[in-house]
Amino acid sequence: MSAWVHRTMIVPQAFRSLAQQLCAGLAGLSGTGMFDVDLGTTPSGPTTHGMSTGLIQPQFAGLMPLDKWDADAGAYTRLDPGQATAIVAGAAAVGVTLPLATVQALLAAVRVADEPWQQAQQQQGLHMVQSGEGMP
Amino acid sequence: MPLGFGLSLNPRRSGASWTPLTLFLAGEQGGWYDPSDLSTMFQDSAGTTPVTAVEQPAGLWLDKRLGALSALGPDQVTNGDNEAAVYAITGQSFQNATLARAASPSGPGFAGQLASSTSASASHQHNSGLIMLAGRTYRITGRVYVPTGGVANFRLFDNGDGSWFGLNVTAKDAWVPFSVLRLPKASTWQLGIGNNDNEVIASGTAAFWVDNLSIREVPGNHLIQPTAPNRPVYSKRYNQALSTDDLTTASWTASGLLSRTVTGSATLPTGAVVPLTRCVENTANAAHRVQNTGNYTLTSGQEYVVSAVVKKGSRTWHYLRFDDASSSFLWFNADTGATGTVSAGLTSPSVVSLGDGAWLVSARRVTNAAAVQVLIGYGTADNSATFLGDGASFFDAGGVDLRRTIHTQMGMPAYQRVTTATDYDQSGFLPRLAFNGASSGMYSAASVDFSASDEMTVLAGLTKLSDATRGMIVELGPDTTASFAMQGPHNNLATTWAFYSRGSGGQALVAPSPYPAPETAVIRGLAKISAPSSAIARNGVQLAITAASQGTGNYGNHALYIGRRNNASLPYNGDIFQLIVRGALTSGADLTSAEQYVAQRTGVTL
Repeated sequence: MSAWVHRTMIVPQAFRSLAQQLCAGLAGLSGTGMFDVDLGTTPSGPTTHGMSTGLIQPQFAGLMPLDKWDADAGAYTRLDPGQATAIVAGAAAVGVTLPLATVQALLAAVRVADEPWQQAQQQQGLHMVQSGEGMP
Repeated sequence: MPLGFGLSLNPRRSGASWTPLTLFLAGEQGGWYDPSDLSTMFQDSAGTTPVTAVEQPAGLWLDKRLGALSALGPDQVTNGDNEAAVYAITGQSFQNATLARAASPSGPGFAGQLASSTSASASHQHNSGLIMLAGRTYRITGRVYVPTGGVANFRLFDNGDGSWFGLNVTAKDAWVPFSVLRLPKASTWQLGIGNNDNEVIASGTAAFWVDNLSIREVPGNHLIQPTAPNRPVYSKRYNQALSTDDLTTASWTASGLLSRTVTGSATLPTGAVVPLTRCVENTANAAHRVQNTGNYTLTSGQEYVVSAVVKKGSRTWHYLRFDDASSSFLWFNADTGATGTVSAGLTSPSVVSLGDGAWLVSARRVTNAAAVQVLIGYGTADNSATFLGDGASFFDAGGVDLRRTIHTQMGMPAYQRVTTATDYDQSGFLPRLAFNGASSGMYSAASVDFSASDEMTVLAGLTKLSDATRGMIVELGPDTTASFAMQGPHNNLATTWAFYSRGSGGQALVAPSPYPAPETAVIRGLAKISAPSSAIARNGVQLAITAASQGTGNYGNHALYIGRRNNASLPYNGDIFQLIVRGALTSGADLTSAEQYVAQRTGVTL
């Protein structure tokens, strides 16, 4: 395995299921279960986004967009649009047929950056939704 | 039998060579997880790629309590090297193939040749008997040679459901070594070797050759995390700065400087030699300094120590500056070492002579923002950073270190050279698995059966990095009865460590405070269900105990989770240096030895 790369990936709830299916399809077992962290505009929810954060394989990262926070502009700049065509082809190879426009819409909606999740959440005005699980 | 780091499978009950193996000599259920032993960690959950370097993820973490890879079970293969006779697997069978011993292709000695027995489209495989037991982990090693005309894909697979695992050799006409761990299944299964894809191979043709085959159980309750980004990370990094020995790289930005050149060095009190970067001022009427590019991301509200080596070149007054939401200066006189202006909020200013005009400068700061910059520069007088440069004067700087204050109190070197995020000093720095407080977690590949015991010991070396949200360090089962858990903290925004135990009914929780993050400690939980008690200790000192009823019965047969509840919620934000879970009470010399053992590997002095 070559060097891993860190990514924090945040996807709006409307695209969450699609992102999860694609990651599982393209990366297999290591992509199954991604975007399992609930985010919302308040810690009490409701959930508006899903997040994955941690080390991923570079070939997988290469398929996704890459954004960078511009502190002066107070906004993200997209450095890499991602590989929509390759994702469609990869999905087809594992038996999932997706329109290119659907994948393009997903890539436009997802925010992917090489930054700690705390920083990504702060910049996007999001919080981890507390589970509210009781004692103990 | 060596286990690494001088450990032995002949554990002694006292003395310097005591190891946690001692705690499990009577067959106690549990687990011992040790990030200082690289042989126990793999980057993937299938165990095909070992962790070999810092900043790699751990997808599989082997339990050492029974010796892990140093105490494998009996080999299920006889004559695996094929030298005395062709290899055989216990209870073996063949599918559309015959096995014979023949001269090894492209090498001396013999190998086992599996040849096709049909010219029809068929699978060609060598099967074990139904010997792979439920709930057990197996290591399958060997080497394979697939000749041109042999199978298209050489695989290991479960012959019951046909699923492949860990290996797919497509290379032809070359020996390919393999080592695969097969994680537990819920039922007994049969190993298949070869290709269960139907394909045409001419009758009598070698489908593949196998040599040095071995199939052995890896005993223990091993932890996995299949989802790549959810894996904790093996790390020894404590210094947050980058390119700390070379301030000319892109990790650093010049302001008001004509040039930067690495030249000369200084020797730290530890004897470490630190290269210095000469910073020559330009002719602008400006500040003349060097600063990290972008920002370091720290945890707001936590205290850090910033230090650097600064050597006098042309001017007298120099500064080390820490910028969060405000700018904090530590000015000092590079002729005398006397401090000048020290900004409010910058504490423990220190200027230590390193000789030859070089000084080790440091200060502490509770950062009030996550985005931080470290700046080094000089002026024409105390607190006079802006001046008209002459294009020739200079200062030298290097050896930048920025870490949490708690990480200066764990017996590690005061300076950690960091070149890149994956290339840094490791000697003397404590290894740990880092859990990110969002998605990191692991769980046992099979249920851990504690149903024979109503006693529990949990011992962990930890750094809790945040109290923002409730964190699950270790829990048996997904929030169920007949379980136990250790938490840090127990509730959102609480400054607690916590431990609880549950039998059939009520839970006995102890959650003492205040132990605000960041905090490094050895935390111990001891519990018994039938004579109800649940106690928590920190650094060997009991903090709380309760005799609240836990109901009846023993602990359950559940998955063991670390880092998150049920691999889904309550993420722990912190580090694990050691983790021992034992289905029995521990006391006396064993408890003392165990706490000392964990403490030494956590940087804690009991």
